[in-house]
Amino acid sequence: MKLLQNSGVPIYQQIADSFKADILAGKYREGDYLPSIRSLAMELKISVITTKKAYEQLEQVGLVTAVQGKGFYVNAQDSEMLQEQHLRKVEASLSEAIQSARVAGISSGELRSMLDALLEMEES
Amino acid sequence: MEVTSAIKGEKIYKKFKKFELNIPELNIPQGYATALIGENGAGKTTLLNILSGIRMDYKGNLLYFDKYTDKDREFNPEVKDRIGYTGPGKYYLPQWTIGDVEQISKLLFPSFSSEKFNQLCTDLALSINGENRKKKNSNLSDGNKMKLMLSGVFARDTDILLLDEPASPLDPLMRDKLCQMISEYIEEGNGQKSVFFSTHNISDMENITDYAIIMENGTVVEEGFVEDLKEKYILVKGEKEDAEKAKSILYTISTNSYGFEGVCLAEDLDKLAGMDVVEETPSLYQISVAVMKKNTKLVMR
Amino acid sequence: MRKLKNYFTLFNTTYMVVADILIPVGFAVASLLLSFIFESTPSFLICFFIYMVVDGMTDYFAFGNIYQKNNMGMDYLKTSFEGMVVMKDALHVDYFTRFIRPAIFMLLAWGLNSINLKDDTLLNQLLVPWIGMKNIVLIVLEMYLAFVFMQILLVNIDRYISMAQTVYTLNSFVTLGADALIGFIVYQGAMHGTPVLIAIIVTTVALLIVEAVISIIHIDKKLQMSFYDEVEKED
Repeated sequence: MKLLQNSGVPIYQQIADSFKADILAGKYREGDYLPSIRSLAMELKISVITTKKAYEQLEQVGLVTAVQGKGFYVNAQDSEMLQEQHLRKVEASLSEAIQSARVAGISSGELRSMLDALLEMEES
Repeated sequence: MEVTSAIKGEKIYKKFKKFELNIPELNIPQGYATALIGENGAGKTTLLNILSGIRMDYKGNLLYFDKYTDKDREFNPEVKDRIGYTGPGKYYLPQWTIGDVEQISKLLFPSFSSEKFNQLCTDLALSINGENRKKKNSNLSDGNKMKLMLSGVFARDTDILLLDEPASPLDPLMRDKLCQMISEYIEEGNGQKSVFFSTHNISDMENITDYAIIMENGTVVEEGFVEDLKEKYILVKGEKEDAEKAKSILYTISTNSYGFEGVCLAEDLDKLAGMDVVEETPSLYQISVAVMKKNTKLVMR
Repeated sequence: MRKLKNYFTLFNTTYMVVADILIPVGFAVASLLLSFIFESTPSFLICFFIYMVVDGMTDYFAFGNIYQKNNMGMDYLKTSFEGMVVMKDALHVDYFTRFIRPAIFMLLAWGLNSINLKDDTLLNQLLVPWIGMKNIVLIVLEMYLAFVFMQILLVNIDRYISMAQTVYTLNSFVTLGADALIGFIVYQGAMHGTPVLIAIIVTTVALLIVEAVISIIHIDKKLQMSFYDEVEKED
């Protein structure tokens, strides 16, 4: 895990993102416990409260569950749910793009062609 | 967030001739590292002395580990054995040598481990494999005095450490080591062990600080988990034209010929709409300085 | 026993060996050597007075300015359950050693000096040739008692003072007083004989008891009070 002190992204967010990627990539399996908040804090040389906040973020999106006194374990990540997660992410990004387009006064047609152009660039 | 308190205090009051310590409510969360921040003379040392039992001439109630009162602290031998303390100045008598400190600590604290103490002395390059043991406390440098105190307190089995300015006399490398030691202590306790330290070196200790208590003029003016404080306060920077208008909105502000910089409460952020400002998450250091600035008697220009 | 253990742990071995053993024994031996070198010198008396000054000064190295307001901080002891008791024990035992040390010196010096006795009594050593042997014992006893009395008085004062130099000056002053007192007693003993000497000894013992009791009460009170010192600490 690489943490950047001055990137503008809060440290807890960076940790949460890193674990999210690992969980979605299958590095942690269902029922696995994440490292305890205090040992992770010690390893990463950050405060306990920061790691706790990162884990709570993961808990909010339903990736892990907290067990009193035992820590956080990884929830079942069936492929359907994974797909759902990814889909939601795509949707969110696209609606953000649409919002920006509205603000800039770009028409729907222009937006579509922009998307096509980007897709082409990606494929080539 | 639900947390239990390692030390709970109610209506802690102590009056000096020119100064008054008055803390209606004090909670030191269990399982975390708590920083006590404040100006010189804010009452940090007095508070730590009250909590550690050095000072007994105060009013108020204290509750340790949810079961022992401050009376128990004086009359039940278990309690003080669970509380570790290091302080400035005349902590160990000046004529004690490193070897004496070991003997005396063994006498005073049942849980003191000579083995751990010698290991720590070696680790901190204070007395490598037993050399220097005849060196007197009064002949040690300030940094080494602190290292000796830290070795003494970490060699015990405690549930809370009360450290009065542990970082001040230490060099940057040793401060890093101190953070590591505190971090390991908290980890080892797995939610049971807590650290409460006062400090002026906020940025050096920021990485391990979970909870911050900021004191001014003998009372607590701000406290909270660092991550929560970072959401409560926002650092903003803007252009000179907006400075006058921003002054009434911002929590603290400093201006120069090119623009302004200040800390804004998150709830007031909307009021800045329309101004050309950038926002940033402040560090604990920046928050502390802002809070202290707001409450200080110092004249800041 | 617990008190002894606490005393031995709290103060470093060097201090205890030097102050409790080396110095008294050293001065006793020195008085013998002096009596060999300068035949008609009151070596016992000279060593007695020098020893008195030195003995008072050793206190500085263990308890120097301990009664000063800031020094009674002793934070370390207060943060432990046993701390105050340990300190009290050590200070009590220290008072006890005040009685032992001069006794070691005087008995040893007396014994050693009898090796090199020119006449049949210790009279020559004391240079008071006109009093009898029986009174010598009483005079030595009175010297011992006066010594202990002065020394305890001295440490009680010294412990409030932080500068080593002041301690030296004070010591020599008080020693001069003791000097005069002992001279007076020897003179009285010589002039008026045994009953007066005994009366003086009884008075000294009474004074000593009062002093010892006051000292102990003072220490205990001082330790208690150290929790309640109205010291306005910076920061």
